[in-house]
Amino acid sequence: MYRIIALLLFCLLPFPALCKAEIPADQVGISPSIFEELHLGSKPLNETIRFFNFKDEPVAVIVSVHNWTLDKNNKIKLLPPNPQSLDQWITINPLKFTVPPGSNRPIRFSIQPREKPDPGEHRAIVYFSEDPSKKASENNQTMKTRFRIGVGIYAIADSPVKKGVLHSFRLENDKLRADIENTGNVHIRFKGQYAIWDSDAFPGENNHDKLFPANKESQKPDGLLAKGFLNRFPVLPGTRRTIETPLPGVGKTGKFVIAIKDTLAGMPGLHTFRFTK
Amino acid sequence: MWLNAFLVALGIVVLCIHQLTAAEMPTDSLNQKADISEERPLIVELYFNDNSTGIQRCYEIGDDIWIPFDLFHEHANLPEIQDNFSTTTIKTTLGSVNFSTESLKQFEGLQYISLEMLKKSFHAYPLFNDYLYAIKIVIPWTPLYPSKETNKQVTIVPDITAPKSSLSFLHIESDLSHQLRHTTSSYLELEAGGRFSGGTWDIMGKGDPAESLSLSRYHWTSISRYNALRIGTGTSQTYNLLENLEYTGLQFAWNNKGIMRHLDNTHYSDADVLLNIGSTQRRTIEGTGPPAGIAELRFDGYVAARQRIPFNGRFIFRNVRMTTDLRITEVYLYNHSLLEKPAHIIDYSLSLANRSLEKHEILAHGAVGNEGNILDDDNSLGTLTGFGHILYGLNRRITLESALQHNPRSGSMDFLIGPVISIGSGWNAAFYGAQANGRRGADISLFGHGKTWHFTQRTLWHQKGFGYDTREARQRHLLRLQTRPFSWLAAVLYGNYTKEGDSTSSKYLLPGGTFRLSSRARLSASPDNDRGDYRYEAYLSPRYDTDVRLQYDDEIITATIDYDFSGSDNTLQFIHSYKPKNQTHASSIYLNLSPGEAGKNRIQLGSTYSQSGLGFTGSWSKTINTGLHFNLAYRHNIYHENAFSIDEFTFLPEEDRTQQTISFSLAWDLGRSNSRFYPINRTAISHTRGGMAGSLKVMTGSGIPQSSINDVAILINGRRLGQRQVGGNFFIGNLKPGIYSVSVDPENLPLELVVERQNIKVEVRNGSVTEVTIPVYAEYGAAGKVCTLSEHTLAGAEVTIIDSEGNTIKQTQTDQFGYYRVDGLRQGAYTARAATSTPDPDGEGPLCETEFTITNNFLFDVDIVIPEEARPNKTSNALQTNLP
Repeated sequence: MYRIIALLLFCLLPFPALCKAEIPADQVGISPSIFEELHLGSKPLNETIRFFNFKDEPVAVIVSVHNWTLDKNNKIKLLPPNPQSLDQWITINPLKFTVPPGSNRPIRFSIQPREKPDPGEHRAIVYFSEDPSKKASENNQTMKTRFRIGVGIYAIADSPVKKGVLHSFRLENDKLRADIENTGNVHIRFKGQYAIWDSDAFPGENNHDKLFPANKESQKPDGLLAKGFLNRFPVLPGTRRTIETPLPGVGKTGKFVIAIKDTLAGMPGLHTFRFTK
Repeated sequence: MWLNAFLVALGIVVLCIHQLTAAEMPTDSLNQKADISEERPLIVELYFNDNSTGIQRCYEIGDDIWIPFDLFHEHANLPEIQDNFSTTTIKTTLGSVNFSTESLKQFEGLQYISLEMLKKSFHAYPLFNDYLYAIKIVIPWTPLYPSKETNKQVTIVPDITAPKSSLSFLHIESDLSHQLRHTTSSYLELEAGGRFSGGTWDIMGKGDPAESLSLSRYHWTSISRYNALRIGTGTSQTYNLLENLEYTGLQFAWNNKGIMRHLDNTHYSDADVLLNIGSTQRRTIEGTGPPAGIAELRFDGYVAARQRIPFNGRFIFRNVRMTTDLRITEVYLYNHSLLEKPAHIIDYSLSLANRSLEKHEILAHGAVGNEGNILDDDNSLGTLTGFGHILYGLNRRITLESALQHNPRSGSMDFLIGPVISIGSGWNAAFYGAQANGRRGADISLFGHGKTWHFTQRTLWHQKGFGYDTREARQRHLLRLQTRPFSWLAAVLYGNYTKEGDSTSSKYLLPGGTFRLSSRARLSASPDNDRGDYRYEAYLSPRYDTDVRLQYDDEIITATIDYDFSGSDNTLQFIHSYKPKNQTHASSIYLNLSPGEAGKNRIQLGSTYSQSGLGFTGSWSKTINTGLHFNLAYRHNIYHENAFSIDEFTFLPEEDRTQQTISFSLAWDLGRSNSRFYPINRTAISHTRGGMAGSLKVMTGSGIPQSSINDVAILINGRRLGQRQVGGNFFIGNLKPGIYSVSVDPENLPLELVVERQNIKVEVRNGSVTEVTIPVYAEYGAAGKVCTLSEHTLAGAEVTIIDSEGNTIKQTQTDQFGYYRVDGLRQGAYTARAATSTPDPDGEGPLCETEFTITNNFLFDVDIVIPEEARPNKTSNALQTNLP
């Protein structure tokens, strides 16, 4: 019995990596995934989204365009169109298509306002949904899954105002929580990176190069326990939201310092928090 | 004490008895082994490749595990296997498998197969995952089933066939140069080619049209798998120790492994060259590896190709490019998976000289005909001449070459023989000996390279009268050793010893090199001519857009400043030259502009000043389409384009040096297919390659101009090849004969234009141009909502678009807010109809519809108003909402 277990353990060695590498190519993708700061003018804006099918079977796709906002939980909420909503100014071609396996398809769209745009931001989202009527080999599947991928479009009319207020920024329960109010008329993001240091090895707030080293993960300097990026959720005009960034575990006890280099609406900032585990 | 001695003795006796008892207990031992051989049930999840079969009952016996054979049979997609212990042969993609059910075991009425047997008989590789408690069987093959379909040759019928016409292209090139108050000179080059009687033909005539235009080249070439035949003008192409023989007659070439790779020139050559002997070498790499394992071809560590190794263990990579560069060519062998460490790494790197062949490859080449071009007015009818030429790959390292050639000048039969040797991964050599006009000559070359050095040596020697009577004896030894010990230093040793007759024209062994001071500055010095005089150069790039060069060469100091502005196509160049010997100066300034679309227009303005006065130049080059280019130039008192010469033209009469010249040159290539002409690049059509030309044609009535179609990618077999697509017209050349799938990537098409038909199968033949017309249509869309007069919208309502003839064109549903969109509508009148459960009062059809007309735009607000009491059709699963 022990020999069998030993044999099985021996056989096991390459298996996890194999499973990881041999994940069935059962995916689709889009590029680009977002359009930001498209400037609305008198001429139509022509853009292209490319849809990739990495599956080994064709996929049938339906395209739809919607007006949207974010709810209090930062989830996308679709809104009915109105004369100033961007979805009503977008023409898109095609609305239905099939992509052969391992291939891609460009989807062209054009934005031309049908009335004078109000100043500020106009948003739309283009959804690519799997056509349920053309789902192949569904009978053979124990779990029925369909994809729906969204491409956010942010267009800007004249007189954009990018302004925000960081009401508070704190560390709570292994999360960074930023309370942000957008006081402008285009969306803003709280962008930046953080680094978690052993308190004893913390290089100091003014030592930026050492504080946020550009080294690869495998070449981290001593005392740097983790680094990462802040959650880049947008905060839409006229809203106040809390953006949370979960932090990774440091894997030991002691005193630590987390440093955050951020920007909000173009304004840079540096924050540090000390904590004990 | 006696008690102690007794106890010790007792202990020894007990131990001995125990040992004896153990040794005499074979039955117990066997019983223990029998216990191990008994099956123990094992409940595990079983995978075949990536497909789980769920939790299965397996058995372990000893070191082996047995799994249900039926599951393996099903997931390996095996054919029926006879259950009478006879051997069944199963053909797979990696070879044949022999299997007998004798090796199966039965547990509880079901047949099981052991993992060991799966490995041995089926080359299937088992893995166990302890975390998942699962067994995964990797089956690297699929079975082959005999069928009528597979035995038949699959014939692809092209949608568009290659043209039958005999004329495929025309090439016109002309130069007209007029010196004001003086003479006019002109040059005209005409070329035509096409297909005739299964082969390709090409005729070129050139000369001054005012005087005479002579046929400089004309031939017809027929190619099969192993042979090529050419009738017309040609050259011998033997090793250059023998003089090149030009003739008009019959030429043949044969290769026992296929002639095409020696014929196929991807780059156009307007000479009479048939064979491509000295090109990049291609080799077949083969060897043995683990059956059902993986062979991976790598160049410098990068994966180039991969294949599963058949059960016979032989792997083959064909057409592998081998060169004299430093590239390391290796094959990595894996037993089962790429995630393992490679079991073996085999180095196949080989420094191959040009002209070497594969093992046992034979290239035979010969011709018979009259010397020279018999239709050229300058040549009288020459003598009968010819040659024979053979190359043979003795093994993978040595190729033998020999040639026998008639010498029209001396009337002798000249011959040449020698091997080309690949000494290893870093060295190759060639040793040629020849006799011409009864005199002897030799050519020896040695080439080596390492990571930091290159070595080239060449010796040429021949006796007096070699080739022809008046030729002097000559020996020439050239050497070049280059080393780069550091990234900032390249040191070179140049050697040259040349003796012609009794005089030595060159004799030196001199160092040279380049110092890279930074990425923007370097200094170099090297011997530049037969005397060994040095050429010095200093280079500095003070800005990303500015280059400065200071050069001393041939007793002239030249300073050059290049400045790029508005992109690299626009440059300003300043050149100043000074000759200390006679203290003369010359300065030039040139402005190169490329207005408009990149590369289509080029304007050059220049001025020079020297002791001979002021000079001006101006030119305009324009590319009108793929095949049509022209250049218009004016020059006054300028004889040199890039650097004003100081005293080289002093031998010219003063009036010539100050002449004003206007010149016009034109190059025009036209491809002909189906009685129509298209702009093409003539150099992309040859006796081995063809092309396709055509247009994306906007169908009538759309109102969209053809000129709006630019830079739309035409995909050949899914890939974008080099092409310039202007105004809907395109040309793609250098295509090997075959059938290609042609598609259009619509990314750069105007939004409303769509290509109705993709993946068009187009036949291409060598020496011809296939016409491909791809229609594009203007299609628009409509959007609106389904609502009541009081603005209550209807979600999930079915909307049908009906054309003027009553045909249903599109169907869709409103979204959760009652809005819909449809696309694919061409110009015309339509009706948008919403399906509701409201009965029609007249009984003549639903009232919920809206008429609209598509002209040349996408329509919004095509709203369908339904009665207040209307409710969605039962089948539409609709919801009713209010607009906020």
